[in-house]
Amino acid sequence: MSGSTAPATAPQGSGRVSGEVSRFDLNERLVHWTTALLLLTLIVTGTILYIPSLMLDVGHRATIVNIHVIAGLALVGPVFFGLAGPWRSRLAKDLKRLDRWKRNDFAYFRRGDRTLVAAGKFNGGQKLSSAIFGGGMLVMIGTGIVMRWSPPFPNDWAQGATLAHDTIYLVLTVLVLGHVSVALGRPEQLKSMFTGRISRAWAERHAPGWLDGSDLSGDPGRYRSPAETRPRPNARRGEAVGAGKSRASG
Amino acid sequence: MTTSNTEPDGMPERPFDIDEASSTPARTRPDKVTRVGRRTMLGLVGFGALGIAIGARVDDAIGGTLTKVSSSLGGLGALIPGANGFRIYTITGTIPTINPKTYRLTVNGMVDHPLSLSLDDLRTTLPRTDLAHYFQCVTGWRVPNVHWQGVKLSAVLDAAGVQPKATALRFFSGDGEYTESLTLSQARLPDVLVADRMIGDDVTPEHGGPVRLYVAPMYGYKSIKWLDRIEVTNEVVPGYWEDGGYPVNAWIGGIAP
Repeated sequence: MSGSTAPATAPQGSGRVSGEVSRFDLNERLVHWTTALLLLTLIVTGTILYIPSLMLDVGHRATIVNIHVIAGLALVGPVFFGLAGPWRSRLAKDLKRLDRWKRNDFAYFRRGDRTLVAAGKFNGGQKLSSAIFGGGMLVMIGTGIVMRWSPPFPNDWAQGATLAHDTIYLVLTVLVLGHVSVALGRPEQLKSMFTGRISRAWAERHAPGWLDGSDLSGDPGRYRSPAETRPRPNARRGEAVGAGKSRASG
Repeated sequence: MTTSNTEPDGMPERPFDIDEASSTPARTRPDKVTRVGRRTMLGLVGFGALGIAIGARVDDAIGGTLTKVSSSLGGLGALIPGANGFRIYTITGTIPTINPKTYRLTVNGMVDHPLSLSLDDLRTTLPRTDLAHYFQCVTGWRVPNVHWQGVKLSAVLDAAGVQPKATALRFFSGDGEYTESLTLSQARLPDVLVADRMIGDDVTPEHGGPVRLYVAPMYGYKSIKWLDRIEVTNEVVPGYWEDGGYPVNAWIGGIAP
């Protein structure tokens, strides 16, 4: 693990990689987990409402509809309250990071080996999925309102809203399943969504542009395009071995 | 949220300025920043808005094809959006199982001759009628071209002899909870049926069999399933979903025919 990053690429001037860094503060974790809980509720109740055979088994449509509608309206809550006070700063900063794509984030989708693409705090895949989550949830809230309170709206609106709601339901469900399965395959990152902290070794390897601040600036920093990224000798293969070591020592 | 909980960089944000960036001791040219995140979100929101605006036309256009795709997929077919399928709604925990042989439809209240009609009575003693019309749910899904067979509700009412002071009807479902209502003039519309057959077969239990109501000009929640009793009254008592805020006069699109 030691010397896994060339000293020349570390502006902070430390060749040693040890300790932990703060990845998500309490506010961000609360926003994540309350949103996750609401999404889980929405997917379970929504699936029951959507699949006729499940509806037949479960019944109690009015109750399920009420839970679904309340959870859906509540979905704006976590992000809203997460940004509503002085505790917003890190969440706001991370949302900014997710919005801003640099060359490497596009390269993430082109490279055969994604671990070779130096990223900022979030890689291209995380940026894309967070945008689909955000936009998808807005669509669900809007179309859901038209479906629930349809009689004031033209009938065609409710019909169109249903088509859009059902389509995005499939997209978000697949996305949630993908998100969870990826998280389960990366225990260190999953743990950091509970504790807020992650090893500096992980950050050096996966998010160098976060450590040097270049993912929030126009400065390329260590967050370089792939052509400029020299594969580090021990980062080419044995990624899992290296990650395992860093966990053990961190 | 303690103050020590800051990010590792801890450096102030730099302004997003090319000159500023290039004046920093960077080894390479400044990186281009594209705001893909918000564009993706806006794109999706646009998709949703477009869906609301023209989704109904798309739904009508592709529905037939999707129905075929959906039915070829078996159980998974239920996952296909816009496939024009019925969605089965029950408000209680189970589907009522009603024996068609012992089934009786009760008509009472402000009538001269209270009735207790068997399925056979509905099929042999009253004039039969049929029509093909879509089934429209208030939440937005629609099943086109459903074939309904039964007896006009007005014929049932005529057989019972509605008293002059009556103005409305209450309907009670065999599930023990669901109720509905119609005014007498709504009930006498020619496309309001007491239906015992739909889609070329006896009405199945999940569709409300053996006998259900079908109110063509209104949203589906008016078409009460497992129809058990019709009470003729002189006041409209809002039904199950109407207590939850849905319109009592549930004309599709809000327009009376």
